[in-house]
Amino acid sequence: MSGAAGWDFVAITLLVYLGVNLIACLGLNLQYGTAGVLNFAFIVFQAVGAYTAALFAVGPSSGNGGFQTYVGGWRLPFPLPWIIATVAGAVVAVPVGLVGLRRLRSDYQAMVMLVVSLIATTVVVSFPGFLNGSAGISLVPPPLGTLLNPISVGYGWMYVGLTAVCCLSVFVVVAALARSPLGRSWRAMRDNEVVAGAVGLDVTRLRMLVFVVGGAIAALSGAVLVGFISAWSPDAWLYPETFAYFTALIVGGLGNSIGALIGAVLVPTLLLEGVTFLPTFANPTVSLGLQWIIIGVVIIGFLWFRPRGIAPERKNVLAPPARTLTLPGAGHDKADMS
Amino acid sequence: MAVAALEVEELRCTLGGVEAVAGISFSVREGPTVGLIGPNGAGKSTLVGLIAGTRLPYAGTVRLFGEDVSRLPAWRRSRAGLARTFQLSSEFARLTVLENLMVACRDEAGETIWGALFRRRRWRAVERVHAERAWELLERFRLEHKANEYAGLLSGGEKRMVEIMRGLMSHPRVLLLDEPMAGINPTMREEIAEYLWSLKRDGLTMIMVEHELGAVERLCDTVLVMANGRLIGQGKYSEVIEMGEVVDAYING
Repeated sequence: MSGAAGWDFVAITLLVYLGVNLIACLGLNLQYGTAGVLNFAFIVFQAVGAYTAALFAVGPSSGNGGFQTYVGGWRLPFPLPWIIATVAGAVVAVPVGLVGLRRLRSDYQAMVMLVVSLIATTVVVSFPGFLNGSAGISLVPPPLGTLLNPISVGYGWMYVGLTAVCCLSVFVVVAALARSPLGRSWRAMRDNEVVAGAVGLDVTRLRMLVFVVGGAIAALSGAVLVGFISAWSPDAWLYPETFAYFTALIVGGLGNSIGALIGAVLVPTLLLEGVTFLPTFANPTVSLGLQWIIIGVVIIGFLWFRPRGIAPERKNVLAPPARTLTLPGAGHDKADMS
Repeated sequence: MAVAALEVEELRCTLGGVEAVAGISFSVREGPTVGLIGPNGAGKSTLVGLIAGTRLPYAGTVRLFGEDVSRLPAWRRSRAGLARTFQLSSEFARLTVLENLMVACRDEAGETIWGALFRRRRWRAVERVHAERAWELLERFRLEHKANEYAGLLSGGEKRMVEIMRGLMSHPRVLLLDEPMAGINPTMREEIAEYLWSLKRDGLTMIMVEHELGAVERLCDTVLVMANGRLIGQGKYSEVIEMGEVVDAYING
């Protein structure tokens, strides 16, 4: 492939990756930025979505000459695999949340989640019969691949469109939740858990809710990604990937969807993918390691000099009820002056 | 005989190996304001935590209007009508003052995923009612010009006020106040006292930990005296103030 079509494919690839990263960042932002839940196993939920979408699209493992082994395997039409994947993310979040979030304080929750992430990769790698081990599942048929030619440029742009629809839906859902009374309760819990309990908020329930919603969103991002690259293996979801998303949020701005967008553009898309375009100056593993060095430096830099990120959380300003506007007291006049 | 608003029986709690609350029993009818005084380290705040459920006792019972709430978490006791303030400022720093108040109101529609997304008209209507009440309180405390400020940016006294208002948002039946006057200038103290007086007149049952004896004398019908995790006396202010321990703690300093 060369010339104009070549650039089309680069643009398509970057945009789909951006979309996947944006969906993931919005989900993590709801969990961490809004509700303060430190989910260091976030990438596991993306993997749950990717594996589930793959299993429900790839067909039984006897297909393709039986070169891969996995549990189940169905061939359902699009968009069923994506929908099932999203639900799976939410379902898996329930037991993980019950074990990890219910009785522990937030710093310990973070540790448990990191361990969950390590356990999940180890399990998948050590039981090759489960999800084809470290080789992963490949030859996942592209969504709508039987109706359209999946290697055409047109299909690529159609996929960008699908990704954009998912981004937009997630954006709308996250924004609506954050603005609702539920969102306010999440922010109160983030600011002070003990006091939140004392004013009548069921902190365990609030944590579980945000964990389940975030899990579903993460899973959707995985489903979108696996449909595009048609393969998924443990390399794609090692625990440091979660930190790339955390960096994106810290850079972009916690608790702000625009911040999540800025972060998704800058960190996982430009920074991590951009590094791979640098000329190789030493042995290849060095430039790979360079990604994580840069991530670390960026996190520290932002936490020191701009801890609220590029686009900080916006204040939720409410106008006084109409009644007080018609009867302004001295206090109101003063407020208008300031 | 009417059911007591709050009944505490043989409550015990250890903190770091020390028995901070060592078997306390008392009961409060609905209506009066009860003062809880005693030297620093007597266990007053621990007792407040045990009653509110933010701390768990290893023995003893707490009854709210006859119902045993000893095993209930703090949020359930709050919904059962028990509100509290904290000794240290406990505002939600990155919520505005108005949000700090409104978060204490329950709204069944707006606090589920489904309701938040698909029953917006319903929860917006409920929000309007809650906002109305919050503005009323803010006006009474003359803090309405701070309504949309982040609570974390307020002065210590203002934070204290926000906490009391937040406690009142849910229309509690019993209000626990942990040193409402601490660290507040005399003018504002006067305002808080006046406001508490009006709550008392409205018939709200209050239990108040306070070192400011003037306020205790003015507001409290009964005073409980604590020392070393035990109740060492109770009665009218004029009676307990004569007790040796009280004199030692408050007058001899």
